[in-house]
This record gives sequence, structure tokens and C-alpha cells, in this order.
Amino acid sequence: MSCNGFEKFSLDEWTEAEFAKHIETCESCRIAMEQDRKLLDLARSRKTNITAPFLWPRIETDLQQQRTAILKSDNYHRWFFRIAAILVLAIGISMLWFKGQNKQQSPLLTESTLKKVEQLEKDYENAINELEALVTPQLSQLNQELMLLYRDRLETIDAQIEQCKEALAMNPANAHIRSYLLAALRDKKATLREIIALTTT
Amino acid sequence: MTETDIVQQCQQGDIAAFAALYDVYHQPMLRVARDILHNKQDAEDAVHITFVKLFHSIRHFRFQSKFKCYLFRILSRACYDILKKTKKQRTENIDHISQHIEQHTDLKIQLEEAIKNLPERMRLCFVLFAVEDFKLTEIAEITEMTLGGVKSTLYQARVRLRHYMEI
Repeated sequence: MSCNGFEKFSLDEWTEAEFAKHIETCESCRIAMEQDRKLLDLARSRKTNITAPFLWPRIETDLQQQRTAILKSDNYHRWFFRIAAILVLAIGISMLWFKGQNKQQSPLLTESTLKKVEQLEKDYENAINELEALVTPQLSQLNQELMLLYRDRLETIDAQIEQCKEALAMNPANAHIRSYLLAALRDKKATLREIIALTTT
Repeated sequence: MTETDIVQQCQQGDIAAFAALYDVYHQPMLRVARDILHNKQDAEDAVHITFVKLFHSIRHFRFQSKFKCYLFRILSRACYDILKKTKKQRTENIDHISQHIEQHTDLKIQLEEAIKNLPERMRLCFVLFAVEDFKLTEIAEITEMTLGGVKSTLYQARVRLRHYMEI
């Protein structure tokens, strides 16, 4: 076929009207069109029913199996996620509980530690009291102003010590109050040393 | 009940809805598969595989394209997979085809033999267009080709078939 008119028509480069006008004069394109019509008619005649009586039962059985497998898998996943969620929740709650326990326990002293601390405090306090007994008579050797200042300071420290002791009587294991008591005792010791230093020079 | 309703029921996993789809589409599907695979048993397998694949993938169908095109795209892929496995691809040369076709006096059988010897994609385009009356845009969607590509492929298929059959 030398003319490409039918190709142009088939590829929509020509309209139906253009092609109709063309085949009035082009024999090869007219024959091509007739052959094409024959071919398409013949192709349409192939549109017959194909019998496949066992196809749907096969497909249906397969689909039922697939659906059961999916449901099983969904159930498995659902249980898996439920158990995982419960585990995560349990671990989270126990971690929070332990954290809370630790927080509560951290400022508290254990029974044995408390006994040791109380004994050491007692010894320390006794030592300071002995020092105080030595220093108190020497206070009068200081001038009036210094004497009043140190007496006032010692009274303030004693009041702090008393306050700490009162608090410890209610909550003996509280390490924070014990540390305040220790600081007050150290302060008293330092003040008494200062007085000794002033009276000996 | 509209096709959209049926498809929505299929998306819920309703097997009866799949049966309804099968009733509508199994004949054209079998014919297309038969013309691509040239074997009734393989064609049935292709339709079977298509429905199983559809069962798993239909929940992702968003109605953005025609359901028919979606279904036949799955079918065409199933057919190509079977072809790859059975290695029933065309190996004969054109002269041999012509001799083979001339042996048949019945035009229908001649056409069947001629279709068999078209390249796969050309065969699919021709069968969808000439036997099943699909629109060019639908064929483009199924074969994932451009509209121009479909027109050109169809033209080439018709030229080859006329040549083989000497109508």
C-alpha cells in the first residue's frame, strides 16, 4: 500500500470527513478500510461465551480460605498488640512506682545508719558541750561589745540546734534535718574556737 | 445495586459481592486471557489469580479510575506472569506464521492463529478493542500506555493481522 491515508485516519490525524473525501479517489485506502472492517467484524464474532463451570467454585474456595487466613492473622495481631500494650503499661507503671519509691526513700536514713548517725551526733555534741563549759567562763575576759555579740550568736545557734532536735524527734530518719543540725553544731564549734582564740591572745 | 455498591461490599470482604463481580466480568476476562495465553486452562488460572489478587488489593481501590480498567489491569499482569512462567512467548518468524495460517480455511481459526502471533501488548490492545469493545482511553489505562501509543499499537496490529490473513 503506497498511500498512508488510512494510517493517518487510524491515528486520528485525519477526520472521518477528510478520509471519506480521500477514499473517493484513493483505491488502496478504500481497500484497506474494507479489509479493516472485515477484520473487526471477524474479531467481534469471537465474542462468544466460554464455559468454565468449575472456575467460580475454585475461586470461591480460595477466597474463603484467604478470608479465614486474614481473620486469623487479624486476631493474632489484635491479641499480640493487646498483650504488648498490657506489658508496656505494666512496665511503665512499675518503673514509675519504683521511681516514686526511690524518691520517697532517698531523704530517709535506714535504721542502722540512723543509729550510727545518732551516736556520732551525741559524741560530737558532748565534745562541743565540754568545749562550751571551758569557753563560757572566758567570755567575761572579752570586752563588753564582743561578749554580747558572741553570747547573742551562741544563743541563736542553740535555738537552731533545739529547733532541729524538735523536728528530729518527730521525724528521726530525715537526713535533711540532720544535715542542718550538723551545720549548726559546726557553727557552734567554730564560734567557740573564735572565742578561745580571742581570749588566749 | 450499582457496581460501586458491589465494589464497596467487596472491600468489606463479602464473598457474595465477589460472586456478583464474577458474574459480570468472567466472560470478557476469560476471552481476553484466552487470546493472550491461547489456552483455556491457563485462561481460567489467570482469572482465578486475578480474583485472588483482587481480594487482597480491592481495599486500596479508591474509585479514581474505572473499576473495569482496574480489574483488567490485574488480569493483564496475571496473564503476563503466566506467559513468563510457561515461556509461551512468540518465537516463530512471520513467513512461518503465514504458512501456518494459510493452512486454515476457516477465517475465525485464521484470525485466532494470527492473533496468537502478535506481540503480547499488541495482542492485548487488539483483543480489548476489537473483541471486547473497550474504549481507547480505557485500553490506555489498562495497558499503562499513552493514548497515542494505543492508537499506534492498534494500527500496527490491524496491519499485521490483515497481512497475515490476506483478507
